[in-house]
Amino acid sequence: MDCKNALKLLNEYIDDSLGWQESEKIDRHLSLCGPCAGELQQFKSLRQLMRSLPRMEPPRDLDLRMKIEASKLALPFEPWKMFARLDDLLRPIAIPAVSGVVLTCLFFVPLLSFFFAGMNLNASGRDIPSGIFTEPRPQLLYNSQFVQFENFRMVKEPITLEAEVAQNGMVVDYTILTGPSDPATVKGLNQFLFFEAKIGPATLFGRPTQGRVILSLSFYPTLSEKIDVVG
Amino acid sequence: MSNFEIGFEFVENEVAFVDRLQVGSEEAFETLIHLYQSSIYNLAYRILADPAEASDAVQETFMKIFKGIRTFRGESGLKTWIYKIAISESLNRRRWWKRWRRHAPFSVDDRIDSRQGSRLLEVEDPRPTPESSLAQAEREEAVQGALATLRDEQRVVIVLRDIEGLSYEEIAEMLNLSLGTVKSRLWRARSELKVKLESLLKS
Repeated sequence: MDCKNALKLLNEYIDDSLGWQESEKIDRHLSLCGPCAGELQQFKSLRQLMRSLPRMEPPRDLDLRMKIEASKLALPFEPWKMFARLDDLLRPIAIPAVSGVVLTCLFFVPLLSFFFAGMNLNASGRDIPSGIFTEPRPQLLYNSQFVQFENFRMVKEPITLEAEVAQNGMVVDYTILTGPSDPATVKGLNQFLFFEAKIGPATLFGRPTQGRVILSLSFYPTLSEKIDVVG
Repeated sequence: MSNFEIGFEFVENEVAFVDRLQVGSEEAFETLIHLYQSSIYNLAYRILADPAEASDAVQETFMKIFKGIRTFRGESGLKTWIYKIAISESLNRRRWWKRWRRHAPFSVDDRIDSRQGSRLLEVEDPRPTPESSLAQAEREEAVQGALATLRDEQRVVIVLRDIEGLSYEEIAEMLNLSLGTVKSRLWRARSELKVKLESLLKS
């Protein structure tokens, strides 16, 4: 037997799965051939090394886990027991889940008024909504819807103007948008807006701030000395 | 009756044991776990090189056995059938693992993990000195590392033959291979390992 054939059969020789005749041939070859004997020695050492690997012991809870899984599989499917299973499933998370929902409500309900404008969740409706910009509001003179004013005798048609209102509610400037702008009308408007008109200032976060407001002034022929102010 | 007694009874009468498994006997299933858990865990561990993955593979293997035992017709032995499932499960996990976790299969952390499971008594060295323990751990790591570099089909064959001690015929049946293929794969696996572990073998 030559080296090539011997090496081919070395595998089975190591595993003792050769017939006695072939084994004897290899024995004879190995006794004469140093390199092949060296190879055999290395393969034997390798097998020894593999066999010396320690047996690993499975985790202690593995068989318990498998028994639990197996018992789950063994349970027949019974739809009417679904609620009981759901109950078992949800029971451990019931308290954390309810606490979470309650805390979420406590946190978000006060914020709802911001998300839904006009929704009033406060105890008193007179509270100034914070976080919202409010425009200046005209406050009518003499607590009346109508304003009596000498200088407006000559105003024959409606005037629309944009007034700039300071933090203290005083008009600081205005622009006539539509309507007459003759000197007599302007004089009357100056007197009225700068000295007599009361306008609630614009607010931001409930605090007064500068703002602009569109005002409509109308002359009523039947009530010759009255002017309607609509903000 | 202890598990060992049941085990011996099973070896002598596999058909009756399979019948009991097929009718859903919990006791029989427990015996099956007792008989094969350790072997399958070691097989999976040597294929996957990860104790947690090996545990999951064992669990999944037994669940498949449990679900599929009714379809077991006894064409091959029960052991062969169980090993077939375990090998397939371990290789599938390894493929998934290789695909999704492409980083190096070994790290310092893995080495710590690999000692998670306590070991059985080592007859050759029941009370190892710290030095010999270290040498043993290094040897084991080198072998495991070299095994991990082999192709899956070669690694399975050498694990089954040299670590689990199965015969050529059993391996051929488990892997649906011819005897010649088993021998050639074993030869290639051993030759590659011999080269990779040369320094260790010479020492």
